[in-house]
Amino acid sequence: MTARQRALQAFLRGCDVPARVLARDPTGASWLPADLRRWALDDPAAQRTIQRFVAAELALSQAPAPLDDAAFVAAVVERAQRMPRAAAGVDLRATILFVANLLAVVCAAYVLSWAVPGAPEVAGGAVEQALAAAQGAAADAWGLLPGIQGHLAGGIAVLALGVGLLLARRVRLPHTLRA
Amino acid sequence: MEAVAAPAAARDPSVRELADMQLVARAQSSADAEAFAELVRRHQARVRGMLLRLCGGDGALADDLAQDVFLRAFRALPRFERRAEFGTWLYRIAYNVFLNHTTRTRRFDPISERTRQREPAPRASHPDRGDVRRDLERAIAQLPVPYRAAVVLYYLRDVSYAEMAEILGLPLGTVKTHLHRARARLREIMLGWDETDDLEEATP
Repeated sequence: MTARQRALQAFLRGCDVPARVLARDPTGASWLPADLRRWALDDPAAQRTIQRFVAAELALSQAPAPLDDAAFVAAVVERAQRMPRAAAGVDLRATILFVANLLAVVCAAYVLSWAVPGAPEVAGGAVEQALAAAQGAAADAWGLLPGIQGHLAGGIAVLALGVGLLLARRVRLPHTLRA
Repeated sequence: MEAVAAPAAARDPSVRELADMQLVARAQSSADAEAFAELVRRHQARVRGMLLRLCGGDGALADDLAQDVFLRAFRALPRFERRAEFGTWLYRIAYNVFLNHTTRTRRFDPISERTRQREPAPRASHPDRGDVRRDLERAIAQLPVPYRAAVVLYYLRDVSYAEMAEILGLPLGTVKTHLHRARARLREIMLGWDETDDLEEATP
């Protein structure tokens, strides 16, 4: 490749000419640098490169799909009519996210009550009683050692937190897009 | 859950005169099928065009994904808060549907075999419009997904840089960098094919 060919390609690679200008002036009389333009007039390969560049830019700026397709619209509407739709204001994923995070917090508090000596005493009386009752009920019902219960609750907390984080990521889907 | 109201037997001519947001309001408040159909009619060409280019020119795949886009939009419409343009919201759904598809199929470069095997068209003295378009689709399909999305959105004429940033979920500066590199790379691919041709022509 000659230096002029390289110069032409370097110019075309970075040039930013509106499609309407390219359509009006496909040979580059108004937008190609004068030296490249003079050389390109006598070089068939350069002319092909310019033609191809212009054709590609014009193709890019044109709509690639039909402007109006009644069959497509009818198919979408027909499928939509058979589809149930969530009522306004109800976001199932957000609800699950909230519940999962609430569960994670409750489980974490439960684990802390086992792990930190005297933690229930720090809390208010109602919380202390509720925790003690929950611990007793869990021990009675499951017949598990407190350590195992703590691990189980910790596992649930991690699981709930994981579900919450996963859903938080998915909740960033388009319907939450803000302007 | 509510089902969409059946469209009126006689097409309401007034829906064609309503702005997008008025149609959205009607579709939200009463699940108005006429209003939703009008929104689909207005935006289907751009959404399908965007997906066609993202999918490397695979029209069947692009149309399948486009239907999915509008159905997701329909389902999510009650939660659309009308703070963004409807078109911007729709393009973002389309981009997410495309990304989900590539993730689901474990093909981050979702070019059909047909597109992969397609050779660039032989050069004529005056390039044929169809050949150029096919070569262009092939060149776009060779770009990394974020670059491809940036360049595809840029050439949808009604999308601003700020909207592109929203749709792609990227900072404005990153979008501009992606776009600059994508356009340069696209031209390199196109001009690179020319180099090959010139070499072939020069070889006895």
